[in-house]
Amino acid sequence: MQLTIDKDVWAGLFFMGLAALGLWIGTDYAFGTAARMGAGFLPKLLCWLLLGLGGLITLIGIVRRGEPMEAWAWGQTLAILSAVLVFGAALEGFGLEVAILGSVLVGGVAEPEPSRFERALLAVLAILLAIFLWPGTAGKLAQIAGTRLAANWLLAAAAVVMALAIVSHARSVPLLTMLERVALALGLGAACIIVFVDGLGLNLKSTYVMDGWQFLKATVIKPLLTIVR
Amino acid sequence: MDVLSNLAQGFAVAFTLQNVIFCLIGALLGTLIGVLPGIGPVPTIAMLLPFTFSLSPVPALIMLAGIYYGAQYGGSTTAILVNMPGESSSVVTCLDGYQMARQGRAGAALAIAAIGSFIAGCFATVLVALFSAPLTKVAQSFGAAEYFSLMVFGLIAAVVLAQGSILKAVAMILVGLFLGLVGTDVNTGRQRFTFGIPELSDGLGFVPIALGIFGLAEIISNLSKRQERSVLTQPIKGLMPTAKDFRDSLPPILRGTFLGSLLGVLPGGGAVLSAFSAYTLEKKIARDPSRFGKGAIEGVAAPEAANNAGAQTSFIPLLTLGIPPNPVMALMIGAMMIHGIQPGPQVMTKQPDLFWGLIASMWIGNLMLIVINLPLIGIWVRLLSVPYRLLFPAILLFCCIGVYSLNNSAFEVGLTALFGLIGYFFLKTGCEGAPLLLGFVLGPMMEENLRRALLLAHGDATVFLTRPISATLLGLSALLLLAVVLPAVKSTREKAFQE
Repeated sequence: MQLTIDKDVWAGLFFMGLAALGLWIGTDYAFGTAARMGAGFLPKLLCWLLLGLGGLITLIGIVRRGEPMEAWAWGQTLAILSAVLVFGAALEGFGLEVAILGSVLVGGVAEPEPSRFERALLAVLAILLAIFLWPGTAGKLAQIAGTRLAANWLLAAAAVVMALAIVSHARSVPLLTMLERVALALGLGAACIIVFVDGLGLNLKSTYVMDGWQFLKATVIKPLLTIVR
Repeated sequence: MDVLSNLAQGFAVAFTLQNVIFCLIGALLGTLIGVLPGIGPVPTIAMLLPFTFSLSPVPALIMLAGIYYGAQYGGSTTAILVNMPGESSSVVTCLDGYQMARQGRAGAALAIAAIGSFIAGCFATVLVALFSAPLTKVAQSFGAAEYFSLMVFGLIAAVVLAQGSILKAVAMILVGLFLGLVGTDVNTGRQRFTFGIPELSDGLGFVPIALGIFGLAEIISNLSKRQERSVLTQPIKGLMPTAKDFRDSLPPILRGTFLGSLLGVLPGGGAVLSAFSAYTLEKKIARDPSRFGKGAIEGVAAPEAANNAGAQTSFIPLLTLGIPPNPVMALMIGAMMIHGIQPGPQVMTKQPDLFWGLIASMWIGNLMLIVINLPLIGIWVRLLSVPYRLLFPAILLFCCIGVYSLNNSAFEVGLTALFGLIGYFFLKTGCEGAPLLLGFVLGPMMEENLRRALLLAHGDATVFLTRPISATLLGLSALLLLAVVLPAVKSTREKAFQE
């Protein structure tokens, strides 16, 4: 017997997960009283509702076996999403030309059966991208330095490799083999994340780590007490 | 004769050369994007929204209205020519429109769709003008408790009247409300769910959410489907319908207009429900129902008229109450807010130019559709014959540039990708994106009104039940929910959406 997981179960689990996340992050938002709602009043209320509803949906999904989830198109998902990420990351880091070329190139990989013309087009795009990225093109060398310079070299090299890969697979049906796709997506994704995190100065709060009792007190006991009162 | 003078004022605003040009550009752009298969009005508007931000509020909203109608009409064009509905409201148009196209009558179908939409538009514009003023008066007497209950009712009704699983739709509303909480809490100044990211302190933008969930997710699923599109190859001859076509389609247009105007006001109704019920009505009263599905012109005329009338009258709750009945209107609210307009009853009294100008521009937008689209059909057809695999990189780029230019923020581009992923997950698990968007837009308003109502009542939650209007609205919501859960209604509802 094959174990398939129902659509509803997935959806329900997602809702529950989101609600739990909301409760966890919102642990220290003040609940307040009904007359003087604190910042945490509605979030906690909503999250508990969502948690309950998500649980109900999951249960119904388990009991009443509906349609199983269809296959997830990982290749296309990765390609399209990384194309968008590449655009965002490249625009601020490397300029509009690189952003446009890069995202079209990465998105183009999503295409299952490219014609010879499209292959050639993508290869040309990749080479153009490499030229744009090459430090020294159009006097950009003076403006970029340090880690950015290294990133430029790396990405330019990746673009050349991609162009070569596209050309060398001229006769195979998918544009790139699955392995190459995953590797490219991972590489580009990592580059994007580096640029993003670098640009944002993202700091994850250490206060999220707290002990279980505190968590329980803030999310369950205090709201309950307030409602009872 | 208040209405007439108001309308005259509106036309005076809308008929300046500048505004007419913006309306024209909007309708053109809307059709251009809307005609692309797999892109409904929501992503179209979200994509084109940034183009209107450099304008002042009045021309910007007029252009948006143009975009909206253009996108709607573009959807019907795709439905008739390619049998691929860009949005759920043109699903019905596919049934007979595509059959007509296969019989070489695509021109007649497109023309009747445009003419039907125009007639419906004229009627609905008058209706909007007539009912806005009295409804605004009612809305002005609403307190915080009534507003909160009204929003609850709107959300519940939107879920019940839309298709799909109720439980999941309610959960999606909650997710939307939850997303609306992200950002700085207005009253306490507390940062909620921002992860310390400064870009989030103003809250999530609705364009990244809408484009991610409706745009990117659609692109991914279209790409993975590999469906064969059979674009019409035979040339379209004879654009004008025959006299018999006109005679056959006039009564359905009028019936569709009436039905659509009525259903458009309902939350969740809007264009989709109107089109479906108009088609069903025509099929029921037709002398020979078997012709439907085989290229009956009534099957194109009625839903198209209803769809447009419904699209237009759904502006009534938006303009008078500030409550969006469907996701497109949710986008309009977002657009208004970016321009510094808080939608609601005060718009009409404080900015009559904007209010009546918008209403007048609806009519102009409809006129534009006839004037520009009928001659340009050839171009749209050629655009349709471009394969999707060549189109999608362009669509993708358009999405990216649109999101970025909104706030010049790469962060929002990344956010769009995240919501694209979530949206694709929702598509796969059969969760509708529309309730989420409605919840997201209404979230902050709901919290504010809930807070205010409870503050005034000293924390007594029964205030929602002791005030008559509020209690009625909540009772209606409960009844609606109950009705759907009952097995008898459930089966007919499922049957209704089967068609």
